[in-house]
Amino acid sequence: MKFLSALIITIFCCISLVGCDMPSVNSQNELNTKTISGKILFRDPMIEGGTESQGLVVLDPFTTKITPIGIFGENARFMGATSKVLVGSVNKIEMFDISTKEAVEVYKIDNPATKGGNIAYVDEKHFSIVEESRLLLVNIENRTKTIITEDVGNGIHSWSGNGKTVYYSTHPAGEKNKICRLNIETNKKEVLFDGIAPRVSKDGNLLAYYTAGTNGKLIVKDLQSNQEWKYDGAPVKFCFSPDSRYIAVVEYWRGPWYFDGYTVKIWDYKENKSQTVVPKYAQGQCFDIDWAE
Amino acid sequence: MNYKDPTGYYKVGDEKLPPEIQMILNGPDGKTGGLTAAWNAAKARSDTAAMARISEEADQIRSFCVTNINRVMVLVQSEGALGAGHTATMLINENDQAMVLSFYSQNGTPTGPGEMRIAMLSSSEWNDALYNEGTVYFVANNGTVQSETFNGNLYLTVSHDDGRNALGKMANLFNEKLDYNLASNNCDHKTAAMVTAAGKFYDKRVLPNDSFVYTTMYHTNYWGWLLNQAMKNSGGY
Repeated sequence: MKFLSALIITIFCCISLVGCDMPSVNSQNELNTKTISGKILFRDPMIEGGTESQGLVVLDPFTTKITPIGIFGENARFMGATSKVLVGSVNKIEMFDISTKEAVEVYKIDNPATKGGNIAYVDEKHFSIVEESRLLLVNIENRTKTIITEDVGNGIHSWSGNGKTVYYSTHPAGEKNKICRLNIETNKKEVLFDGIAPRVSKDGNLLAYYTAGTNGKLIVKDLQSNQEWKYDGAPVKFCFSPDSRYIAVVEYWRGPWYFDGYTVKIWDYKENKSQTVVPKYAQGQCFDIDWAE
Repeated sequence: MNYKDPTGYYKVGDEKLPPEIQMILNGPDGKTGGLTAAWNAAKARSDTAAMARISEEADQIRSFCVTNINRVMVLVQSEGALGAGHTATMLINENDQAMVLSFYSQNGTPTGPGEMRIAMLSSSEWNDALYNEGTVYFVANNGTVQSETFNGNLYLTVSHDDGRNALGKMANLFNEKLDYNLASNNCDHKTAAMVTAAGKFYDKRVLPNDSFVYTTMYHTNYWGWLLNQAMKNSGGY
Protein backbone atom coordinates (compact mmCIF):
# COMPACT_ATOMS: atom_id res chain seq x y z
CA MET A 1 0.00 0.00 0.00
CA LYS A 2 2.90 2.34 0.83
CA PHE A 3 4.29 1.67 -2.60
CA LEU A 4 0.90 2.44 -4.13
CA SER A 5 0.59 5.70 -2.19
CA ALA A 6 4.09 6.76 -3.17
CA LEU A 7 3.35 5.92 -6.79
CA ILE A 8 0.15 7.97 -6.80
CA ILE A 9 1.87 10.97 -5.22
CA THR A 10 4.75 10.71 -7.70
CA ILE A 11 2.38 10.51 -10.66
CA PHE A 12 0.37 13.47 -9.33
CA CYS A 13 3.49 15.61 -8.82
CA CYS A 14 4.91 14.69 -12.24
CA ILE A 15 1.65 15.61 -13.93
CA SER A 16 1.55 18.90 -12.01
CA LEU A 17 5.13 19.86 -12.76
CA VAL A 18 5.44 18.69 -16.35
CA GLY A 19 2.04 19.57 -17.65
CA CYS A 20 1.66 23.14 -16.57
CA ASP A 21 1.10 24.47 -20.07
CA MET A 22 -0.79 21.56 -21.51
CA PRO A 23 -4.26 22.28 -22.85
CA SER A 24 -7.23 21.11 -20.86
CA VAL A 25 -8.87 17.82 -21.72
CA ASN A 26 -12.03 18.46 -23.66
CA SER A 27 -14.11 15.67 -25.05
CA GLN A 28 -16.18 18.08 -27.11
CA ASN A 29 -15.08 19.47 -30.44
CA GLU A 30 -13.85 23.02 -30.57
CA LEU A 31 -16.04 25.88 -31.62
CA ASN A 32 -15.16 28.98 -33.58
CA THR A 33 -15.89 31.87 -31.19
CA LYS A 34 -15.46 34.42 -33.98
CA THR A 35 -19.12 34.01 -34.79
CA ILE A 36 -20.21 34.83 -31.27
CA SER A 37 -21.22 38.27 -30.11
CA GLY A 38 -22.30 40.12 -26.99
CA LYS A 39 -20.67 40.43 -23.58
CA ILE A 40 -20.44 37.96 -20.72
CA LEU A 41 -20.60 39.21 -17.13
CA PHE A 42 -19.04 37.50 -14.12
CA ARG A 43 -16.66 38.07 -11.23
CA ASP A 44 -12.97 38.62 -11.86
CA PRO A 45 -11.48 35.19 -12.50
CA MET A 46 -8.28 36.21 -10.66
CA ILE A 47 -6.26 34.21 -13.14
CA GLU A 48 -3.18 33.92 -11.00
CA GLY A 49 -5.26 33.23 -7.93
CA GLY A 50 -4.42 36.57 -6.35
CA THR A 51 -6.63 38.44 -3.96
CA GLU A 52 -6.16 41.93 -5.32
CA SER A 53 -9.49 42.05 -7.03
CA GLN A 54 -12.86 40.45 -6.77
CA GLY A 55 -14.54 43.01 -8.95
CA LEU A 56 -16.98 42.31 -11.72
CA VAL A 57 -15.70 41.98 -15.27
CA VAL A 58 -17.08 41.65 -18.77
CA LEU A 59 -15.68 39.25 -21.31
CA ASP A 60 -15.83 39.76 -25.03
CA PRO A 61 -16.17 36.19 -26.32
CA PHE A 62 -14.94 37.27 -29.74
CA THR A 63 -11.58 38.59 -28.54
CA THR A 64 -11.63 36.83 -25.11
CA LYS A 65 -10.58 40.18 -23.64
CA ILE A 66 -11.64 40.69 -20.02
CA THR A 67 -12.41 44.22 -18.82
CA PRO A 68 -13.19 45.23 -15.21
CA ILE A 69 -16.37 47.28 -15.03
CA GLY A 70 -15.46 49.10 -11.83
CA ILE A 71 -17.61 47.68 -9.08
CA PHE A 72 -17.40 44.85 -6.56
CA GLY A 73 -20.25 42.42 -6.15
CA GLU A 74 -21.32 38.83 -5.90
CA ASN A 75 -24.28 38.18 -8.15
CA ALA A 76 -24.73 40.36 -11.21
CA ARG A 77 -27.04 40.54 -14.19
CA PHE A 78 -27.17 42.75 -17.24
CA MET A 79 -30.19 45.00 -17.33
CA GLY A 80 -31.30 44.05 -20.81
CA ALA A 81 -28.38 45.53 -22.73
CA THR A 82 -24.75 45.64 -21.66
CA SER A 83 -24.66 49.27 -20.51
CA LYS A 84 -26.18 48.72 -17.05
CA VAL A 85 -25.94 45.90 -14.56
CA LEU A 86 -27.73 44.86 -11.41
CA VAL A 87 -25.15 44.11 -8.76
CA GLY A 88 -26.03 42.00 -5.75
CA SER A 89 -24.10 41.96 -2.49
CA VAL A 90 -25.00 40.36 0.80
CA ASN A 91 -26.94 43.39 2.01
CA LYS A 92 -28.07 45.35 -1.04
CA ILE A 93 -28.76 45.45 -4.75
CA GLU A 94 -27.30 48.26 -6.81
CA MET A 95 -27.91 49.49 -10.34
CA PHE A 96 -24.56 50.27 -11.95
CA ASP A 97 -23.96 52.26 -15.09
CA ILE A 98 -20.82 50.90 -16.74
CA SER A 99 -20.04 54.05 -18.73
CA THR A 100 -20.49 56.61 -15.94
CA LYS A 101 -19.42 54.23 -13.11
CA GLU A 102 -22.36 55.44 -11.06
CA ALA A 103 -23.99 53.04 -8.63
CA VAL A 104 -27.44 53.57 -7.18
CA GLU A 105 -28.80 51.39 -4.40
CA VAL A 106 -32.17 50.07 -5.54
CA TYR A 107 -32.88 47.53 -2.86
CA LYS A 108 -31.79 46.86 0.70
CA ILE A 109 -31.87 43.22 1.69
CA ASP A 110 -33.94 43.06 4.87
CA ASN A 111 -32.36 39.97 6.32
CA PRO A 112 -28.74 39.62 5.24
CA ALA A 113 -28.59 36.35 7.14
CA THR A 114 -30.21 34.80 4.09
CA LYS A 115 -26.77 35.14 2.48
CA GLY A 116 -27.95 37.58 -0.09
CA GLY A 117 -30.37 36.77 -2.82
CA ASN A 118 -30.44 35.43 -6.29
CA ILE A 119 -31.40 38.23 -8.59
CA ALA A 120 -32.77 38.37 -12.12
CA TYR A 121 -33.58 41.15 -14.55
CA VAL A 122 -37.23 41.18 -15.57
CA ASP A 123 -37.77 44.30 -17.70
CA GLU A 124 -36.70 47.93 -17.73
CA LYS A 125 -38.86 48.69 -14.71
CA HIS A 126 -38.44 45.56 -12.62
CA PHE A 127 -35.99 43.05 -11.25
CA SER A 128 -36.64 40.08 -9.01
CA ILE A 129 -34.91 38.69 -5.97
CA VAL A 130 -35.35 35.58 -3.86
CA GLU A 131 -35.26 36.10 -0.12
CA GLU A 132 -36.06 33.27 2.28
CA SER A 133 -37.61 31.20 -0.54
CA ARG A 134 -39.92 34.09 -1.53
CA LEU A 135 -39.70 35.42 -5.05
CA LEU A 136 -40.14 39.18 -4.96
CA LEU A 137 -40.76 41.47 -7.90
CA VAL A 138 -39.21 44.87 -7.24
CA ASN A 139 -40.19 48.05 -9.05
CA ILE A 140 -36.97 49.94 -9.71
CA GLU A 141 -38.63 53.37 -9.82
CA ASN A 142 -40.77 53.36 -6.69
CA ARG A 143 -38.95 50.49 -4.89
CA THR A 144 -42.19 48.66 -4.14
CA LYS A 145 -42.02 44.91 -3.96
CA THR A 146 -44.60 42.23 -4.68
CA ILE A 147 -44.45 38.62 -3.56
CA ILE A 148 -44.79 36.40 -6.64
CA THR A 149 -44.50 32.99 -5.01
CA GLU A 150 -43.18 31.56 -1.74
CA ASP A 151 -41.72 28.18 -2.64
CA VAL A 152 -38.58 28.94 -4.64
CA GLY A 153 -36.04 26.25 -3.82
CA ASN A 154 -32.40 27.23 -4.21
CA GLY A 155 -33.22 30.75 -5.39
CA ILE A 156 -32.03 30.53 -8.98
CA HIS A 157 -34.76 31.75 -11.28
CA SER A 158 -35.04 33.16 -14.76
CA TRP A 159 -37.51 35.26 -16.78
CA SER A 160 -38.51 34.93 -20.38
CA GLY A 161 -37.68 37.92 -22.55
CA ASN A 162 -41.17 39.41 -22.30
CA GLY A 163 -41.02 39.48 -18.51
CA LYS A 164 -44.28 37.55 -18.14
CA THR A 165 -43.08 34.06 -17.31
CA VAL A 166 -40.65 33.02 -14.61
CA TYR A 167 -38.95 29.63 -14.25
CA TYR A 168 -37.66 28.39 -10.89
CA SER A 169 -37.29 25.17 -8.96
CA THR A 170 -38.98 23.89 -5.83
CA HIS A 171 -37.85 21.18 -3.45
CA PRO A 172 -40.93 19.36 -2.13
CA ALA A 173 -40.21 17.34 1.02
CA GLY A 174 -39.10 13.82 0.18
CA GLU A 175 -39.10 14.45 -3.56
CA LYS A 176 -36.64 15.51 -6.21
CA ASN A 177 -36.43 19.16 -7.21
CA LYS A 178 -39.04 20.22 -9.69
CA ILE A 179 -38.82 22.90 -12.36
CA CYS A 180 -41.84 25.21 -12.22
CA ARG A 181 -43.21 27.81 -14.61
CA LEU A 182 -45.35 30.69 -13.45
CA ASN A 183 -47.12 33.20 -15.67
CA ILE A 184 -47.53 36.33 -13.58
CA GLU A 185 -50.32 37.73 -15.74
CA THR A 186 -52.58 34.71 -15.53
CA ASN A 187 -51.08 33.44 -12.26
CA LYS A 188 -50.95 30.00 -13.87
CA LYS A 189 -48.35 27.80 -12.22
CA GLU A 190 -47.13 24.55 -13.78
CA VAL A 191 -44.79 21.91 -12.40
CA LEU A 192 -42.84 20.83 -15.49
CA PHE A 193 -40.30 18.08 -14.68
CA ASP A 194 -37.47 17.13 -12.29
CA GLY A 195 -34.63 19.62 -12.31
CA ILE A 196 -33.00 22.57 -10.62
CA ALA A 197 -31.54 26.02 -11.34
CA PRO A 198 -33.34 26.85 -14.62
CA ARG A 199 -32.21 29.52 -17.07
CA VAL A 200 -34.60 30.28 -19.89
CA SER A 201 -33.62 31.60 -23.30
CA LYS A 202 -34.68 35.11 -24.24
CA ASP A 203 -37.32 33.84 -26.66
CA GLY A 204 -38.71 31.53 -23.98
CA ASN A 205 -38.42 28.42 -26.15
CA LEU A 206 -35.43 26.76 -24.50
CA LEU A 207 -34.61 25.91 -20.93
CA ALA A 208 -31.19 25.07 -19.48
CA TYR A 209 -31.16 23.36 -16.09
CA TYR A 210 -29.47 20.76 -13.94
CA THR A 211 -30.97 17.34 -13.58
CA ALA A 212 -32.23 16.78 -10.05
CA GLY A 213 -30.18 14.75 -7.57
CA THR A 214 -26.48 14.60 -6.82
CA ASN A 215 -23.99 15.17 -9.63
CA GLY A 216 -26.61 16.93 -11.69
CA LYS A 217 -25.99 17.23 -15.41
CA LEU A 218 -26.61 20.29 -17.52
CA ILE A 219 -29.46 19.80 -19.98
CA VAL A 220 -30.81 22.14 -22.63
CA LYS A 221 -34.41 21.36 -23.45
CA ASP A 222 -36.57 22.61 -26.28
CA LEU A 223 -39.86 23.31 -24.54
CA GLN A 224 -41.82 22.89 -27.75
CA SER A 225 -40.41 19.64 -29.11
CA ASN A 226 -38.96 18.26 -25.84
CA GLN A 227 -35.66 17.61 -27.64
CA GLU A 228 -32.75 17.60 -25.20
CA TRP A 229 -29.01 18.21 -25.37
CA LYS A 230 -26.73 17.08 -22.55
CA TYR A 231 -23.46 18.73 -21.58
CA ASP A 232 -20.45 16.48 -21.12
CA GLY A 233 -18.73 18.10 -18.16
CA ALA A 234 -19.10 19.29 -14.59
CA PRO A 235 -20.77 22.71 -14.82
CA VAL A 236 -21.00 25.13 -11.91
CA LYS A 237 -22.93 27.99 -13.55
CA PHE A 238 -24.40 28.57 -16.99
CA CYS A 239 -26.50 30.97 -19.08
CA PHE A 240 -27.81 31.39 -22.63
CA SER A 241 -26.33 33.66 -25.25
CA PRO A 242 -28.66 36.50 -26.34
CA ASP A 243 -29.50 34.63 -29.58
CA SER A 244 -30.08 31.35 -27.66
CA ARG A 245 -27.59 29.50 -29.88
CA TYR A 246 -24.95 28.99 -27.22
CA ILE A 247 -24.53 28.42 -23.52
CA ALA A 248 -21.77 29.98 -21.45
CA VAL A 249 -20.66 27.35 -18.96
CA VAL A 250 -18.45 27.69 -15.90
CA GLU A 251 -17.17 24.25 -15.02
CA TYR A 252 -14.51 22.43 -13.05
CA TRP A 253 -11.31 22.49 -14.99
CA ARG A 254 -9.58 19.20 -15.44
CA GLY A 255 -6.24 20.43 -16.61
CA PRO A 256 -3.10 19.19 -14.92
CA TRP A 257 -1.62 22.32 -13.39
CA TYR A 258 -4.47 24.51 -12.22
CA PHE A 259 -5.88 21.51 -10.52
CA ASP A 260 -8.59 23.16 -8.49
CA GLY A 261 -9.90 25.79 -10.81
CA TYR A 262 -12.81 26.54 -13.06
CA THR A 263 -12.88 27.35 -16.71
CA VAL A 264 -15.40 29.26 -18.82
CA LYS A 265 -16.53 27.73 -22.10
CA ILE A 266 -18.97 28.56 -24.84
CA TRP A 267 -21.00 25.50 -25.76
CA ASP A 268 -22.87 25.13 -29.04
CA TYR A 269 -25.35 22.61 -27.71
CA LYS A 270 -26.85 21.67 -31.08
CA GLU A 271 -23.46 20.90 -32.61
CA ASN A 272 -21.96 19.71 -29.30
CA LYS A 273 -18.91 21.87 -29.83
CA SER A 274 -17.30 23.99 -27.19
CA GLN A 275 -14.51 26.51 -26.89
CA THR A 276 -12.66 27.66 -23.82
CA VAL A 277 -12.76 31.44 -23.42
CA VAL A 278 -11.33 31.72 -19.89
CA PRO A 279 -8.84 28.92 -19.33
CA LYS A 280 -8.05 29.52 -15.67
CA TYR A 281 -10.61 30.75 -13.21
CA ALA A 282 -9.92 30.63 -9.48
CA GLN A 283 -11.96 27.98 -7.71
CA GLY A 284 -14.88 29.38 -5.75
CA GLN A 285 -14.83 32.73 -7.48
CA CYS A 286 -17.86 32.37 -9.74
CA PHE A 287 -21.26 33.09 -8.22
CA ASP A 288 -23.16 34.04 -11.30
CA ILE A 289 -22.82 34.49 -15.04
CA ASP A 290 -24.85 36.45 -17.55
CA TRP A 291 -24.68 37.23 -21.26
CA ALA A 292 -26.25 40.09 -23.20
CA GLU A 293 -25.97 41.84 -26.56
CA MET B 1 -22.55 49.30 17.93
CA ASN B 2 -19.56 48.65 15.75
CA TYR B 3 -16.23 49.61 17.19
CA LYS B 4 -13.45 50.26 14.74
CA ASP B 5 -9.89 50.95 15.70
CA PRO B 6 -6.81 51.39 13.54
CA THR B 7 -6.12 47.68 13.67
CA GLY B 8 -9.40 46.43 12.39
CA TYR B 9 -13.07 45.70 12.80
CA TYR B 10 -14.79 44.05 15.72
CA LYS B 11 -17.66 44.69 18.05
CA VAL B 12 -17.73 45.76 21.65
CA GLY B 13 -18.58 42.65 23.62
CA ASP B 14 -16.56 40.26 21.47
CA GLU B 15 -14.24 39.81 24.44
CA LYS B 16 -17.10 38.16 26.33
CA LEU B 17 -17.82 35.56 23.68
CA PRO B 18 -16.62 31.94 23.97
CA PRO B 19 -12.90 31.65 23.21
CA GLU B 20 -13.46 29.60 20.05
CA ILE B 21 -15.73 32.32 18.64
CA GLN B 22 -13.29 35.04 19.66
CA MET B 23 -10.57 33.12 17.87
CA ILE B 24 -12.58 32.92 14.65
CA LEU B 25 -13.64 36.58 14.84
CA ASN B 26 -10.48 38.27 16.00
CA GLY B 27 -7.62 35.78 16.13
CA PRO B 28 -5.30 34.70 18.94
CA ASP B 29 -4.75 38.26 20.22
CA GLY B 30 -8.48 38.98 20.22
CA LYS B 31 -8.07 41.99 17.93
CA THR B 32 -6.18 41.61 14.70
CA GLY B 33 -6.61 38.05 13.42
CA GLY B 34 -9.47 35.92 12.16
CA LEU B 35 -12.29 37.70 10.38
CA THR B 36 -10.94 41.07 11.51
CA ALA B 37 -7.83 40.41 9.42
CA ALA B 38 -10.04 39.27 6.57
CA TRP B 39 -12.13 42.45 6.83
CA ASN B 40 -8.96 44.56 6.78
CA ALA B 41 -7.70 42.74 3.70
CA ALA B 42 -11.00 43.44 1.93
CA LYS B 43 -10.87 47.07 3.05
CA ALA B 44 -7.33 47.45 1.71
CA ARG B 45 -8.61 46.78 -1.81
CA SER B 46 -11.84 48.77 -1.22
CA ASP B 47 -13.97 45.68 -1.74
CA THR B 48 -17.16 46.88 -0.09
CA ALA B 49 -19.06 43.75 -1.13
CA ALA B 50 -16.60 41.48 0.68
CA MET B 51 -16.49 43.84 3.69
CA ALA B 52 -20.27 43.65 3.98
CA ARG B 53 -20.30 39.87 3.74
CA ILE B 54 -17.50 39.46 6.28
CA SER B 55 -19.37 41.74 8.71
CA GLU B 56 -22.57 39.75 8.21
CA GLU B 57 -20.74 36.46 8.61
CA ALA B 58 -19.13 37.73 11.81
CA ASP B 59 -22.53 38.73 13.17
CA GLN B 60 -23.86 35.26 12.44
CA ILE B 61 -20.88 33.58 14.05
CA ARG B 62 -21.33 35.71 17.18
CA SER B 63 -24.64 33.94 17.70
CA PHE B 64 -23.28 30.40 17.28
CA CYS B 65 -23.92 28.20 20.32
CA VAL B 66 -20.71 26.34 21.17
CA THR B 67 -21.99 24.15 24.01
CA ASN B 68 -24.42 21.88 22.17
CA ILE B 69 -22.65 20.77 18.99
CA ASN B 70 -23.91 17.25 18.37
CA ARG B 71 -23.07 16.50 14.75
CA VAL B 72 -19.92 16.47 12.67
CA MET B 73 -20.28 16.16 8.95
CA VAL B 74 -17.66 15.48 6.32
CA LEU B 75 -18.61 17.23 3.10
CA VAL B 76 -17.17 16.16 -0.21
CA GLN B 77 -17.06 17.57 -3.70
CA SER B 78 -15.96 14.60 -5.75
CA GLU B 79 -15.21 16.76 -8.80
CA GLY B 80 -12.64 18.84 -6.96
CA ALA B 81 -8.88 18.62 -7.43
CA LEU B 82 -8.83 16.86 -10.75
CA GLY B 83 -11.25 14.24 -9.57
CA ALA B 84 -9.17 13.62 -6.44
CA GLY B 85 -11.99 15.31 -4.54
CA HIS B 86 -12.26 18.04 -1.97
CA THR B 87 -13.41 17.62 1.61
CA ALA B 88 -14.60 20.14 4.17
CA THR B 89 -15.96 19.83 7.71
CA MET B 90 -19.26 21.04 9.08
CA LEU B 91 -20.24 21.20 12.75
CA ILE B 92 -23.93 21.40 13.64
CA ASN B 93 -25.40 22.20 17.04
CA GLU B 94 -28.78 21.43 18.58
CA ASN B 95 -30.02 24.86 17.51
CA ASP B 96 -29.46 23.65 13.92
CA GLN B 97 -26.74 26.24 13.37
CA ALA B 98 -23.82 25.00 11.30
CA MET B 99 -20.21 26.12 10.90
CA VAL B 100 -18.15 24.94 7.92
CA LEU B 101 -14.40 25.13 7.34
CA SER B 102 -12.78 24.50 3.99
CA PHE B 103 -9.11 24.75 2.98
CA TYR B 104 -7.88 25.52 -0.49
CA SER B 105 -4.77 26.45 -2.36
CA GLN B 106 -5.12 30.19 -2.97
CA ASN B 107 -3.39 29.98 -6.33
CA GLY B 108 -4.95 26.68 -7.27
CA THR B 109 -1.50 25.12 -7.43
CA PRO B 110 -0.26 21.99 -5.63
CA THR B 111 1.90 24.08 -3.32
CA GLY B 112 1.61 27.72 -2.31
CA PRO B 113 -0.37 30.04 -0.04
CA GLY B 114 -3.32 28.41 1.65
CA GLU B 115 -6.78 29.89 1.96
CA MET B 116 -8.94 29.03 4.95
CA ARG B 117 -12.65 29.52 4.32
CA ILE B 118 -15.37 29.64 6.92
CA ALA B 119 -19.16 29.91 6.73
CA MET B 120 -21.99 29.84 9.18
CA LEU B 121 -25.22 28.38 7.86
CA SER B 122 -28.80 28.34 9.04
CA SER B 123 -30.80 25.12 9.02
CA SER B 124 -32.31 25.81 5.61
CA GLU B 125 -28.93 26.78 4.20
CA TRP B 126 -27.08 23.66 5.29
CA ASN B 127 -29.95 21.45 4.25
CA ASP B 128 -29.83 23.14 0.87
CA ALA B 129 -26.06 22.57 0.71
CA LEU B 130 -26.33 18.90 1.68
CA TYR B 131 -29.33 17.76 -0.27
CA ASN B 132 -29.83 20.35 -2.98
CA GLU B 133 -26.24 21.03 -4.07
CA GLY B 134 -26.88 24.56 -2.82
CA THR B 135 -24.06 27.05 -2.94
CA VAL B 136 -22.19 27.73 0.29
CA TYR B 137 -20.79 31.24 0.51
CA PHE B 138 -17.52 31.35 2.43
CA VAL B 139 -15.38 34.17 3.69
CA ALA B 140 -11.69 33.40 3.50
CA ASN B 141 -8.99 34.52 5.89
CA ASN B 142 -7.43 36.57 3.06
CA GLY B 143 -10.52 38.76 2.81
CA THR B 144 -12.09 37.19 -0.25
CA VAL B 145 -15.57 35.73 -0.64
CA GLN B 146 -15.80 32.34 -2.30
CA SER B 147 -18.44 29.78 -3.10
CA GLU B 148 -18.46 26.00 -3.05
CA THR B 149 -20.92 23.20 -3.64
CA PHE B 150 -20.80 19.67 -2.29
CA ASN B 151 -22.22 16.46 -3.69
CA GLY B 152 -21.75 14.03 -0.81
CA ASN B 153 -21.64 13.94 2.96
CA LEU B 154 -21.01 11.74 5.97
CA TYR B 155 -22.99 12.35 9.14
CA LEU B 156 -21.50 11.52 12.56
CA THR B 157 -23.11 12.16 15.93
CA VAL B 158 -20.81 13.38 18.68
CA SER B 159 -21.03 14.38 22.33
CA HIS B 160 -21.21 18.07 23.20
CA ASP B 161 -17.66 17.98 24.57
CA ASP B 162 -16.27 16.33 21.46
CA GLY B 163 -18.21 18.75 19.29
CA ARG B 164 -16.69 21.66 21.12
CA ASN B 165 -13.22 20.15 20.76
CA ALA B 166 -13.78 20.05 17.02
CA LEU B 167 -14.87 23.70 17.05
CA GLY B 168 -11.69 24.62 18.95
CA LYS B 169 -9.66 22.87 16.27
CA MET B 170 -11.67 24.65 13.57
CA ALA B 171 -11.04 28.05 15.19
CA ASN B 172 -7.31 27.40 15.40
CA LEU B 173 -7.14 26.15 11.82
CA PHE B 174 -8.95 29.24 10.55
CA ASN B 175 -6.08 31.34 11.92
CA GLU B 176 -3.38 29.02 10.63
CA LYS B 177 -1.00 30.61 8.15
CA LEU B 178 0.60 27.46 6.74
CA ASP B 179 1.03 27.04 3.01
CA TYR B 180 -1.08 24.59 1.11
CA ASN B 181 0.74 21.44 0.09
CA LEU B 182 -1.04 18.79 -1.91
CA ALA B 183 1.02 16.02 -0.34
CA SER B 184 1.30 17.10 3.27
CA ASN B 185 -1.14 19.92 4.06
CA ASN B 186 -4.28 19.81 1.97
CA CYS B 187 -8.02 20.10 2.60
CA ASP B 188 -8.26 16.50 3.70
CA HIS B 189 -5.59 16.92 6.39
CA LYS B 190 -7.75 19.65 7.93
CA THR B 191 -10.85 17.49 7.73
CA ALA B 192 -8.97 14.64 9.40
CA ALA B 193 -7.79 16.99 12.17
CA MET B 194 -11.31 18.23 12.94
CA VAL B 195 -13.02 14.84 12.74
CA THR B 196 -10.33 13.33 14.94
CA ALA B 197 -10.68 16.23 17.40
CA ALA B 198 -14.35 15.25 17.64
CA GLY B 199 -13.26 11.78 18.75
CA LYS B 200 -14.19 10.07 15.51
CA PHE B 201 -12.04 7.84 13.31
CA TYR B 202 -11.00 9.30 9.96
CA ASP B 203 -9.44 6.96 7.43
CA LYS B 204 -6.98 9.38 5.89
CA ARG B 205 -5.94 8.27 2.44
CA VAL B 206 -3.86 9.91 -0.25
CA LEU B 207 -6.85 11.25 -2.18
CA PRO B 208 -9.70 13.10 -0.42
CA ASN B 209 -12.29 11.10 -2.36
CA ASP B 210 -10.74 7.86 -1.06
CA SER B 211 -10.65 9.21 2.52
CA PHE B 212 -14.32 10.01 2.22
CA VAL B 213 -15.24 6.61 0.78
CA TYR B 214 -13.28 4.58 3.35
CA THR B 215 -14.25 6.74 6.32
CA THR B 216 -17.86 6.38 5.27
CA MET B 217 -17.36 2.63 4.97
CA TYR B 218 -15.81 2.52 8.46
CA HIS B 219 -18.77 4.30 10.04
CA THR B 220 -21.56 2.72 8.05
CA ASN B 221 -20.25 -0.73 7.09
CA TYR B 222 -17.59 -1.59 9.64
CA TRP B 223 -17.24 -5.26 8.62
CA GLY B 224 -16.81 -4.25 5.02
CA TRP B 225 -14.14 -1.82 6.06
CA LEU B 226 -12.37 -4.53 8.12
CA LEU B 227 -12.42 -6.87 5.15
CA ASN B 228 -11.02 -4.10 3.00
CA GLN B 229 -8.24 -3.51 5.53
CA ALA B 230 -7.44 -7.21 5.65
CA MET B 231 -7.19 -7.32 1.85
CA LYS B 232 -5.03 -4.21 1.86
CA ASN B 233 -2.70 -5.57 4.54
CA SER B 234 -2.35 -8.89 2.77
CA GLY B 235 -1.46 -7.14 -0.46
CA GLY B 236 -4.76 -8.09 -2.00
CA TYR B 237 -4.83 -4.89 -4.03
